[in-house]
Amino acid sequence: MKRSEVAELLDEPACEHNKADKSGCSRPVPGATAGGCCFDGAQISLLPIADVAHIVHGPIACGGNSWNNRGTKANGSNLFRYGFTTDLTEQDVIMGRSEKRLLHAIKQVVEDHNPPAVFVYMTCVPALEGDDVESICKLAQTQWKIPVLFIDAAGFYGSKNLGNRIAGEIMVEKVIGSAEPPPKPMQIGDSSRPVYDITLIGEYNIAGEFWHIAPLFAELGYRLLCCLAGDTQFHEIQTMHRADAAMVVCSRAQINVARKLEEKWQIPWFEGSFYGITDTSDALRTFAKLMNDEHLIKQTELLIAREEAALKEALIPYKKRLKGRKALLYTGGVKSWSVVSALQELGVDVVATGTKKSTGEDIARIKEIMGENALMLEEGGATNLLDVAREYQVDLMIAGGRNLYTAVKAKIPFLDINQEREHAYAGYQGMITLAQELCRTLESPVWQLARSKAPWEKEPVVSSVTPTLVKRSQ
Amino acid sequence: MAELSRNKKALAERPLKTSQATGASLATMGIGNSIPLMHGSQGCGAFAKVYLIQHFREPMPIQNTAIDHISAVMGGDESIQAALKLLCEKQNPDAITLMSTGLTEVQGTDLARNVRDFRLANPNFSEVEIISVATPDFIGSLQTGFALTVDSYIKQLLGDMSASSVGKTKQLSPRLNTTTVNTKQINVLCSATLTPADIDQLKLYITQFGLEGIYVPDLSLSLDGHLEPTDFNATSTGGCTIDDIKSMPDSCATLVIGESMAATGEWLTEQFNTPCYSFTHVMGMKATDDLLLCLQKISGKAVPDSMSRARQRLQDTLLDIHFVVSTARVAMALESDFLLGFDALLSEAGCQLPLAVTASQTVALKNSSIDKIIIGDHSDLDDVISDVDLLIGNTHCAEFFEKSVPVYRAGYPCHDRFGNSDKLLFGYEGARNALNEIANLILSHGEHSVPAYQSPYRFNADQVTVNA
Repeated sequence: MKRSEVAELLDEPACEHNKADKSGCSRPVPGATAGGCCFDGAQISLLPIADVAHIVHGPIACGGNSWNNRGTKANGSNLFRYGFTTDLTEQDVIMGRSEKRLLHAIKQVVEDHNPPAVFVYMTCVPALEGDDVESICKLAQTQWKIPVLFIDAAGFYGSKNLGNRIAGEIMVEKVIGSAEPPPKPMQIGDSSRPVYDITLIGEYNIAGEFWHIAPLFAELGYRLLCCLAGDTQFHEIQTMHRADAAMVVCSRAQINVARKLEEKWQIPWFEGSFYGITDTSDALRTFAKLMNDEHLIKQTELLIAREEAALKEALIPYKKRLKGRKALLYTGGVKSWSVVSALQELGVDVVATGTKKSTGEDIARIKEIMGENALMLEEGGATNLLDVAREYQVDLMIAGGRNLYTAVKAKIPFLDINQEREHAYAGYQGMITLAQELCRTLESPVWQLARSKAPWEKEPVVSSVTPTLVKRSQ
Repeated sequence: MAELSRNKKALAERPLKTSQATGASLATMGIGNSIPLMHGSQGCGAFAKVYLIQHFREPMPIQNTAIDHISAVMGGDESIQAALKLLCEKQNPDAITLMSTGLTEVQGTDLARNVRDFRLANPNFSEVEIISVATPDFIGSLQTGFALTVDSYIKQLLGDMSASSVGKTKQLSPRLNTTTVNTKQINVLCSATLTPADIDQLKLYITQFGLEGIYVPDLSLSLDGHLEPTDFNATSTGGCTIDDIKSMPDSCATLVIGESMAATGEWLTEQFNTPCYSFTHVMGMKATDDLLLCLQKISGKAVPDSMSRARQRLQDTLLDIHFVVSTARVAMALESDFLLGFDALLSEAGCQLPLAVTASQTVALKNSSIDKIIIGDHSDLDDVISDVDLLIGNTHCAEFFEKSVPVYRAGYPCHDRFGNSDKLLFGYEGARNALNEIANLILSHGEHSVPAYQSPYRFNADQVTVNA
């Protein structure tokens, strides 16, 4: 990928960061980064296209280490779970055999699995070698007559966000618009009305959580043309351009896709979240508004009223147990506020939230939700998080799997909120799961046991480190 | 506080219990060079034999007195005499456990008199200890038969020496004159819940304090799954020796592990003033903490550092597994000693214990944290099965319920699993082992995720029109 192309991708007019002095696509700091690379970002965006053969072209680390490490779920073909990689060896590198190997790999995957398309991911080693992967992909596409897409997002190109963006760009340029969906059927509940076509961007169906939402869309008469990407098939991506409206879910990284859908096909879009009662209801309302249909707006309000009432009832026992519990939230981007509101709806007091990947707009929303004095953590890192947790005497830490065992070792109850998690927290139903999981960890007797010192020991086994305060942006 | 009730159904279905004589046979396997002799029909012996062989995958030298239609009516005393004589002659064991069954108890057989008769008639076999145990099939279960056997061994071998017997018995034991207490030696009564691996681990704990234990019975020397140099053994291949048991009055303390053995420990205190420390189980962190404090007190030695480390490991395991195990609803079908152990282990991990089925009522059950305990059978689990995440029970339990809920194997019999001898539940190590296994089971069967949903409007690849 050329520098100019990368620069173009980094210039995203729809993104807050473009204007602000800080940038979500800034270069990683050597020695102080725990995030993923550009390849990682591209792969996680596209991998949930479940029937595609995703081949990671590189040595084993890139494909092998990341294989199936995310909880995304899909119906039907699960070819994306196979972890295809060219597994380049030393000999391949020295003898320059990697291009040939890739071509054979594509041949094998096509013959063995008959996928609708093949995605080939560039990684650092073949990028440095100068493999002409693009030509190989073209050759393969001619040879086997299925789309073979070159996903040029080697790790060193930049951050995970850049990878997300590259992936989205390729979908817009090469896939979206390449097929037409079947004509709109009539709604099942109302044969006088055709369905509304919508599309979602940045919804990964982690732990199957979108399946909490999907039935609600169907009930209201929406046909989901495509979810980029979670429980998705290749042909659905091809038809995204026919959507009546699009929603960018919890990931600003692919805001470029939404902008291009609007530019090329005039699809209105909005940003939203399915975390929490308010956000879920807001998302449904916004879609209804974009459809500009009074009937739908009314139906939507009825559904929201029904779901919220049922949920309110179901949450009563949990709310009692969670009331006044203090949580430290550390998660990226949109989740820094969307999860805050979900937690507040459960009665949890969020004392601090992470804002490393948040935009000015996100921060404004945090202040709106948590108040002007909201403690925002610009930097994560184990010691900083633990210091804050101790200082504010939080009952619970909510963060990604990377911080899970840090918290556990410090004997602080923990909830995993990122992509590796096993529980579905989206939508109305997801709130119950969230409440259950919060109660599970908060009320577990293991914390007391884990903090207990052996009865024969007068001094504690582990000397508790005295907290040293690290600078935080306020 | 558990709510206790009794299954009042006329029909026992999918029973949890097995007979006392099976437990007596198992306990005998932990006495060195011994033979369990079941006084009953051939079947009584054969069933127990197959049961234990399947569980341990080891030969079981269980013999029986082969009561037939004639001896059933006319009395089976001659069969006892003949069987004892034959076993003494042929196998020259150190001990024979003569146990009754339902049939011979109903006959009214007096096992103790039979032993006295045999002694009088066969003074040449005076070296063979013959211990009689009343184990009718219509009372108790494996656990009680096991405990009764240990009780009988101790009382019958030591009864003559005890202070209360002085004056009543013909001869005064020489040991009573030497009032020396061995401050390094302790008695350890091991209930049927302790596997060979558990006893090995327990020995490790005890020796770390510079103490030497007399483990009664010691299944770790017989049923640990070792190969003997000899091709065939008609007696148990190892265990505690008769001399070990006879030296128990010298011990400075008695440790009892298992509520079912507590009475025997108390008897030792009454007879020999040996302080008794009784544990209903040693499963989970708190019970292990208590045992170590107790060993510290008995030995006067500090708890070794290795134990602190082992405890820290368990603490970490508790934290790791709690994401899956805490709030998991677990039902159990186990005999009471096992039940109380798992109660502690699972409660520490934050499990909910809505129901347990057990074979007999005991005092300690009332204080367990299980919501409801039914003295009954596996059919009492039917109602809760759709509402639990895990069951703990034996092979039969698994056979019936494993299709709908994962079953963690525990208790007897577990003949559909290998390695029952190696199963470690005791101490910090056993707790880690069991909790990890339980977490894995819940995880592999767990349906955390949402059921897959397909919108009725979703279209297939063949329905789209590819643009040129």
